[in-house]
Amino acid sequence: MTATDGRFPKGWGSGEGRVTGPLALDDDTAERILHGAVAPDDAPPGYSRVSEMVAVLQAAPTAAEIAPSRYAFSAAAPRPRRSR
Amino acid sequence: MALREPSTFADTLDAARRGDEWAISLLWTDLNPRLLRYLRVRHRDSVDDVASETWVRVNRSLSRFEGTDVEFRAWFFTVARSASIDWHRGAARRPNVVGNLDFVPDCTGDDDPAEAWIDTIDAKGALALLGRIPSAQSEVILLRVVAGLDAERVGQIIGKPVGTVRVLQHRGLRRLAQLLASERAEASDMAR
Repeated sequence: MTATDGRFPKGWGSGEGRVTGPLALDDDTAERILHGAVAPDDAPPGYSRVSEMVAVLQAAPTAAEIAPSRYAFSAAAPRPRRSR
Repeated sequence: MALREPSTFADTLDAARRGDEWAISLLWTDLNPRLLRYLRVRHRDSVDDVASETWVRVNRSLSRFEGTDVEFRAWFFTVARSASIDWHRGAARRPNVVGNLDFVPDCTGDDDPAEAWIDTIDAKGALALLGRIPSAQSEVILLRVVAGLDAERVGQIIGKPVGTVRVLQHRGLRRLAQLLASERAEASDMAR
């Protein structure tokens, strides 16, 4: 079994299949990094720039991302009802 | 970027179904930036097309959706993922571009790569980096970080057990740490 074939990795629950070694992460720390709850200065060794990257990905949207594109916003809008 | 409290979200959803522009704008403002960031790692020139197709499908099925704002977000990204997969399937004759972010320009626009990587990571650079790790790992990280979904919901979206999601996110985080470290080392060498 592998981590990518849609089944539980062998030994899951005992820690097998997870990262070990110098960049090992416990579940709680990994979750907090993914939530953006670990500041780069507080990150485990080797993960400060990953924390920084998560913060960038979760940053407020840019004007371009909010601005209605030619197609997509009209696609988002249901056909308005006609008032009688 | 949370939408609203569940009770208010229900009002927003009802209004969006009626075509009220304020409600559609609210959904758009919350979800479209996340959608674009998700799609940019999976698509090259077709981000707008797939985003548009996602909104068309969401609009088509909006009347049938029932649930909270978080459930809506999970459903939205399920639709987005399907639209993305369908697009790639339809474009099978063209070169496969999943995970290929060679087209992404320099991450900061700075001519000095050392300075670029040492000083800052911008959104484009972050998405480019995600394009360099295995797609199963990048997808899990995007759905966790950008879509803001928990491991259980991500598992439902990608059709894998939650344990597999956690393994993929661990490996993805490690791979990103390794890439960032090697980028920094290369940049330091170039700066000498």
